[in-house]
Amino acid sequence: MNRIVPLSSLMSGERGEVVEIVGGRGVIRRLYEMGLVPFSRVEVLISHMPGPMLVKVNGSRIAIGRGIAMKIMVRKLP
Amino acid sequence: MSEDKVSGIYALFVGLLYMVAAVGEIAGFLQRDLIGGVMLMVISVVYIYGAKRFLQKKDFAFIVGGVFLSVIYGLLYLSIAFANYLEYLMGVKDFLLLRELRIEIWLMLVSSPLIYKVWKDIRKLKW
Amino acid sequence: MKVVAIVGNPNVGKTELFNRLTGLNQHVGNWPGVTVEKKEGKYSYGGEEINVIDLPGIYGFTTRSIDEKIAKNFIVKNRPDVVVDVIDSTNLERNLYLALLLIESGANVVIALNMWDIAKERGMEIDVRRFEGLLGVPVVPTVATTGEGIEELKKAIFRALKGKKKGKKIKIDYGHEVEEKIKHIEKILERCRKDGYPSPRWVALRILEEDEDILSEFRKGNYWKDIEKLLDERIAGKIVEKRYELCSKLAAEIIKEKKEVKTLTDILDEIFLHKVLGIPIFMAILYAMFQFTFSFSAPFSDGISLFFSWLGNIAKSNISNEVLASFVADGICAGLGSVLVFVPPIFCLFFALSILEDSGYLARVAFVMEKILSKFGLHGKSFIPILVGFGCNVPGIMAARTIENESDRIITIMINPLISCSARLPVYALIAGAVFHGYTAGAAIYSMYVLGITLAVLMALLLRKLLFKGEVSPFILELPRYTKPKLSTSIIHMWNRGKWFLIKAGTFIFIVVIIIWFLSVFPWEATNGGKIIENSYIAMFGRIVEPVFKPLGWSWQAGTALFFGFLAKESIVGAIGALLGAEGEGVYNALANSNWFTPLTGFAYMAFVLIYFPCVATLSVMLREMKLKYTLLTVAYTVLLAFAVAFMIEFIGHLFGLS
Repeated sequence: MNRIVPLSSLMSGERGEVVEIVGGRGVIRRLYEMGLVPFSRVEVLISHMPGPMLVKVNGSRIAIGRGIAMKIMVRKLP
Repeated sequence: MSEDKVSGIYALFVGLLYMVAAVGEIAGFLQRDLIGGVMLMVISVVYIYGAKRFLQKKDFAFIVGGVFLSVIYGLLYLSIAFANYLEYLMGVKDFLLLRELRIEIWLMLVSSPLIYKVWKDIRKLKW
Repeated sequence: MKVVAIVGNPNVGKTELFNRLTGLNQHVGNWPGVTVEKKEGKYSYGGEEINVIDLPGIYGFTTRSIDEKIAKNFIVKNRPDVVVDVIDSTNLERNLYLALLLIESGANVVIALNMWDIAKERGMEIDVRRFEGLLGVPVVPTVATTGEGIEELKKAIFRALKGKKKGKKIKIDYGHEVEEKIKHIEKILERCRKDGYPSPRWVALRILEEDEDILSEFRKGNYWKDIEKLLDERIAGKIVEKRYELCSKLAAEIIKEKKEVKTLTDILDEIFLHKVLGIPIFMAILYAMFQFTFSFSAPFSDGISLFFSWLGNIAKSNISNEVLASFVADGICAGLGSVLVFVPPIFCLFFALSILEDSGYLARVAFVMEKILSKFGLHGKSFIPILVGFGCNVPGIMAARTIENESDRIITIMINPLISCSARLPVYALIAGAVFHGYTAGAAIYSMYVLGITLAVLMALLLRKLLFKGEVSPFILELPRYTKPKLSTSIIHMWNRGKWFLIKAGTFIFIVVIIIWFLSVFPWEATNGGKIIENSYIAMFGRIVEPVFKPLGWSWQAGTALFFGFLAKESIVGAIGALLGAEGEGVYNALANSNWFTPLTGFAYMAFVLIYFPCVATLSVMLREMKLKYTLLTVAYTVLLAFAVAFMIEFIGHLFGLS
C-alpha cells in the first residue's frame, strides 16, 4: 500500500508522485510554475533535517523550505 | 598498490599537511593570519574527509572539493602577490618574495598531482 | 525600429544570448518604478535596425513577483514584434510551459533551443523539425556560450519580423469543463470590450487562473458578479495541470533519446550542500572572496590615492591663487581621491560576485544559510549582502538585488548600514587606542562588530514585526546547473553593476565633496586657508549642535568630527586630527592627552560612529535601490538608535561606577 505522506518525510534518494499541495494560493502557483504539479514525479536529492530540501522535478533542481515541503503531499514510489 | 589507493593516500597526506599549516597559522608561527588558519583547517578537513570517502566508498566528490579550494586559495594569493608587486613597482611598498609566497601557494603546488587527477576525471563528466 | 523581447526561465542562458545578439552595444537601466534591471541593446540584420530587450527570467504568468509582472506586461501590452523564448534543451518539459503561455498570448514567438551542446553531451536527441511542426513556431538550436546558432537565430527573427509563418500554432484543449467556462466568459467579454489584450480566449484563461492584474480591471465593472461566480480554485489548478500534461506529451514526442547520467552538478552539490561541511566550505569561499576584494584591490586603491595626491601637489605648486589652489588640491583632488579609492574594491567584489553567480554557486549559499536566517526573519539570500557589508555597505546593498521579494530585499538593505564596514575600523582604532590599553582596546574594537551584527539582526526582527508583517517569503528556489564561468560574461556583469558608482562619484558625491571643502576652509582669513579648522563654518555649525552631544559628555570637537563622517566614516579620523592640530601617529597621543573622552564616553562614541548615519555613498545607493521613504526611515532609525545605544552604554556604565 502506497501511503500518502508529506514530501518533507521523504529521505534522500526516495521518490514520490505529487498528489496535492495544501497551502496558500501564491505558494501553490509558484510550485506549479516550477513543475511541481499533481502527478509530477519528484526525487529527493538532499534532505537535511531541519533545513531545506533539494528535489529533482523534470530534470531541474528545486530547493524547497522545510515549511512548504510539509504541505506538498506525495505518494511514495518504490 | 592500485592507482586509486595511491591517490586516496596522497589526498590524506595533503589533508594532513594543510592541518599542520593551519595549526602553524593559528598558533602564529607563519603569517599570523588567524582566520586564514581557520580556512586552511577547513581545506584540511575537506581533504581528509574526501580521502576517507574515497578509500572506503570510491566516492571522490570531496577530493574534488579539496582540490577546488586548494586552487582557489593558491590563485588568490598568487594574484595578491602580483598586485603587491605592482605596488612595489610604483615605489610605495617593499616586496619580499618569500613573504608574498604564502603557504597556500606552496600547498597548491603540493596538491598538483591531485589537481591533475581531478581535472582528468572531471573532463569526462557532463555539467 | 523593430522590438524583439527575450524571455525565458531563469538560468537558461538568456543573458549570454542577449550579449551574443547585441555585443557590447547594450545599456542597463531600471524598469520604471522598480529596481529590476532592464537591459536593452541593438543589432542590425538585413538592413533592419533591431532593438532587443532582455526581460527578467520567469517561470509563468501567475505569481505576483515584480519580474513576472514586468515580463507579462511588456509582452501583452507593449506587443514586441518578436518574442524570443530561450529554452534550456536539457529541461524541455518545464521550459515548454512558458513557451505554451507565450504562444497562447498570441505573441510572435521564436524559440531558441539553448544549451544545445549540453543536451547533446548528455546523449539527448531532440527532433527540431518535429518540434517546429507541433508548436507551429520557428525553433533554432543555439549555444549562447560559444555563439553557435546565433546567425541562424538572427535569420529566424528576421523572417518572423517579415511575417513568415511556420504552420499552424498549437492550441491547447483544456477539456470539456474548462472549455465551457472559457466560452461562458468569452460571451460576457463580448458585452464589455476590453481592448489592449491579445484575445478574448486569453483574457478568459487569465480570469480563470485568477490573475490579479486582470481581475482587478473587472472588479469595478458591471459584469464582476457574473465573472466571480465562475472562479474556482480547482479550475485554476486544472488549467495548469492540462498545460503540464501537454508539455510532457510534447517533450516525449520531441526527445528521441534520453539517458540519466551522473553529472558534475550532482557531484558539486554533494560537496557544496553537504550537511556539515557545506557551511565551512562556503565560509572558505567567502573569505577568499573577501581577500580578493580587499587585499588584491588595495595596491590599486593606493595607486589611485597616490595619483590624486600627486595631482593635488602639482596643483598646489602651480596655481598661484591660494583659494583656487586649495579648491583644486584639498577640494577636488583630495575629495575625489577619497571616493575613487573605493572603485577597485567595488569592482573586485562585483567581479567575484559575478563569478559566484554565473557559476551557479550563489543559489547554493541561500540553500545552506536558509535555516539560520529564517529564524531572524531574513531570507536565505540575505546573507551575501550582510557579509559584503563588512567590507563596504555600498556593494553590500547592491548585492541585495538578488533577492526577489520586495519586503525581504528592503529589510536586508535597511539593516545593512549597521554592519560595520571597513571604513569605520580606523575610527575605532584611533579612539580605542587612545582611551583603552592593551587587550581592552582590541576587545573594544571587536565588540563593535558584535554590536553591529546584533543590532542588525534585532532590527530585522523588528522591521519584520512592525513594517513588513507576515512570514519571510517561502523559500522556493531553482538551483541552476553549475557552469564554467566565462571571463567575458563576468567582466560585462561587473562593469554593468559597478559603473554606477563611477557615475555617482563623478556627480553627486563630487558636489558633496566640494561643499565639505568649502565649509571647512571658509571663512578663508579666519581659518588661514583651512589650517585652523576651529574657525571654519563647519566648526561654527559644530558649536551650534554642541548641546546635542553635551549630554553624552562629548566635546564640541568630537561632535563636529561626526559631521565629517557623513562623507565617509574614516574622515572622522582626519577631522579629529585637524581639530587636535596633530597629524599621523601624533593623533593618538594628542587624543590620549586631551580630555575629550573618558574610556566610557569614548566607547559610547565608537558605538555612535558605528550606528549614527549611513555615509553619503551608502545613502545614495539606498536611494537608488529603494523608495525614498525607506531611505529616510533608515536615516531616522540609525540616528535615533545611535543616541539610544550611546546613552544606554553610558547609563549602564554609570550604574557600574564607571565614568
